[in-house]
Amino acid sequence: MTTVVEPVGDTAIAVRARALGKRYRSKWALRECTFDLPEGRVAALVGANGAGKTTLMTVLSGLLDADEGSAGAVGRVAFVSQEKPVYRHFSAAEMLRLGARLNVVWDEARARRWLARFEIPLDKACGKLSGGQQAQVAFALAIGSRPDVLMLDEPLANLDPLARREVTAELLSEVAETGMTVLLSTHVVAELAGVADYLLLLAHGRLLAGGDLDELLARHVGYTGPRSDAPPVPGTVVAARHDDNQSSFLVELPAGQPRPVVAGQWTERSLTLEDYVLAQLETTRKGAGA
Amino acid sequence: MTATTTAAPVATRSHVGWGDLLWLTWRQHRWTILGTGALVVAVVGLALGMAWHTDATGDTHELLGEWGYIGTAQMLTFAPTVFGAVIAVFWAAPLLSREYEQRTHLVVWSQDITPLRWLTGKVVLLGVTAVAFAAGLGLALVKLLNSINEVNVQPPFPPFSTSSFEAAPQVQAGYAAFGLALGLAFSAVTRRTVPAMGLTLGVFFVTRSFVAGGWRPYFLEPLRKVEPYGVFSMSVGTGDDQSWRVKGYLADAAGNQIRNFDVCTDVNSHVEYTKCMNDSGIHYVSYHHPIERLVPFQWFETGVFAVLAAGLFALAFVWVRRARRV
Amino acid sequence: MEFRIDRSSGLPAYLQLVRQVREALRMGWLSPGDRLPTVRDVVARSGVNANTVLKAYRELELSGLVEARQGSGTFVKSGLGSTDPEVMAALRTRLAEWVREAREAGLDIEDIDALVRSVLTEGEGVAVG
Repeated sequence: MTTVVEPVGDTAIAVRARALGKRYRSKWALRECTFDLPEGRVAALVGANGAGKTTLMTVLSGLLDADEGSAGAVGRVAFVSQEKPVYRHFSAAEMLRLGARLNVVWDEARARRWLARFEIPLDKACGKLSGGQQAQVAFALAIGSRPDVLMLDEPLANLDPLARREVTAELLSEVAETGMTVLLSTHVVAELAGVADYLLLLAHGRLLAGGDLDELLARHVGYTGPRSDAPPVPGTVVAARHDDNQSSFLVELPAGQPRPVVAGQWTERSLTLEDYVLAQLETTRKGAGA
Repeated sequence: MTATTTAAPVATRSHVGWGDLLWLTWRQHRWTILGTGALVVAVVGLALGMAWHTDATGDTHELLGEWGYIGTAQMLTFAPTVFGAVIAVFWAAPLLSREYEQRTHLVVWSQDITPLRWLTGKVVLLGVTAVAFAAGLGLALVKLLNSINEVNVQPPFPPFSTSSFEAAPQVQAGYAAFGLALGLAFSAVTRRTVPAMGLTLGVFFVTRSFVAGGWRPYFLEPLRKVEPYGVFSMSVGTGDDQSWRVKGYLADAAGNQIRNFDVCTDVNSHVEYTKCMNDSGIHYVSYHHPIERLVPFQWFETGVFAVLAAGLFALAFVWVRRARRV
Repeated sequence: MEFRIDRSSGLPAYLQLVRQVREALRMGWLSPGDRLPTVRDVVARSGVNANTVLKAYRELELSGLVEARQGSGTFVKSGLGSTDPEVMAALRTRLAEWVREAREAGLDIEDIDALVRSVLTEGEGVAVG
């Protein structure tokens, strides 16, 4: 039970994308995506519906070929699609049998533990299980294959609030035990704090931002003060709002510098993940590139 | 407290083998395979039973009456005609489309197996089974038809007749392979089970009809034979000549085609008619394939469907490989 | 101890954990020699990412509050309430003096609170905790 303390800033890369592009007929679903996801991270792929999250995941997991650029994951990848599909005529035990048969690494005990944790009957046909139970079978299959990289497309969608919390906790326990890298997509940002430690923000097929979540949040600060054309600190203005006698700015501070001290009439405000994501997404809606 | 790390036995191996694909294929398609197999066994059993009875008793009257017996045999010859279509529509057409519809292709292709390896496994295992079924069916039917032909003065199933020709095991194997490939191709392209089944059924029978009716008579240039009318009329219906007459007509002495009711219209008997025809220099011109061409033709037809199957398999594989969506 | 993450807080999750440990020390729920829950336990019970927990523990270690003992876990090294009582008393007197001055200048409680907060956040930008 020794807790192996690995440096969080470990530079080993688990998933890499370089100028990745994917097109459906003439429309680009994904364009110029470049990022490195370090090993052992739990990364959230965030974006509005139709932002290209599913496309990115299917390309990264090798189910679709990219039209541009390159993508690669280190080691074995398991992908659980949004529908969490299972074979309707297979029982949960047979789905695990499938996992054992079709994977070069298989951890039956781990998969069964997941099913037991969520009280899924082993010998009932999956078609007769509820949607939530089918999702657990799909998760168990992915967990049992002991992937190096686990990709989950909207894993929490269609789960009730209690199951969401339990799945999250179980998933994070698995991550802690196995050291796998997780990439999960979601459009519900509010539940990510403390869960994800890495963020990939996607809008209209392009990567708006990516990086260590705490760092991203630390570098973005909201300032409110008297009506002004510029924020009180140096940095890139992500968003600005003005009314008659007040201005507020969302500023991206320059990297590698301590947070500047504001004086006088300005107040500063730390951002929640949700604030940050919404502000970023808003910039694309207005067509004003950040 | 998770104070204990359970040393869970994690199974590790170098690759996913054929045994694993066999397990998956059997688990997913066992009822289809068993159902088809049961029908094949029933038809084969009935055919061999009837053949044995015919061989033993030397006639085809006793059991069901003359026409009942031949009629049953004819019903059985229907089995090889439809077997390829059964494979095409019920085995192959749902193979990919059902996975796409239920999104389960995402499950199976997310394991340590590529789509192409998975597809290869299924095609090979189902293909071998289907071809074996088809060949078995064909062999049993060939045996029955031969037995019936042997005890009849006028063989009801001449070798070039559709039933006899198509019952040959290699031809049956060709149809089965073609059916599998055709269904698979439509399954890959449409991604929908019902349209795939419909299109497969239609195209299967159109292709079969075209090859059987439009092409088979001309696999080779038919031989031309010119006989005096008298000789021709004596040979009709004896069963001695097993060749396949593709077409024939009456010609006058100059070799022009005539219609037989335009000449010798004022005679009163068959003998007089024959004499009149001979005296008028009427000939019968026919185009036919001799019996020696039977087996080469059957192999050629097998080849035609094998080539079609190969092309369709390639199409299905390329289609799956180059999928533009999941 | 039980950790919880306030997802509506602008404070990074790992700092929330740090703060909760410090609070537990201040309140006396934890005292020197106590063992912090294992990373795995925190993950399983609070649904917090292991990296977040590790980061929080490292932060606590850097500030000298806890120490990781190879193979046996993370232990509380020192308490928080160890500031010299005399120093505490002096600080309090000066603060009371300052508050009185502020009130005389016309500031109400809300104004004072905002002022204190703005001074406090000035410091937070650089160091952590």
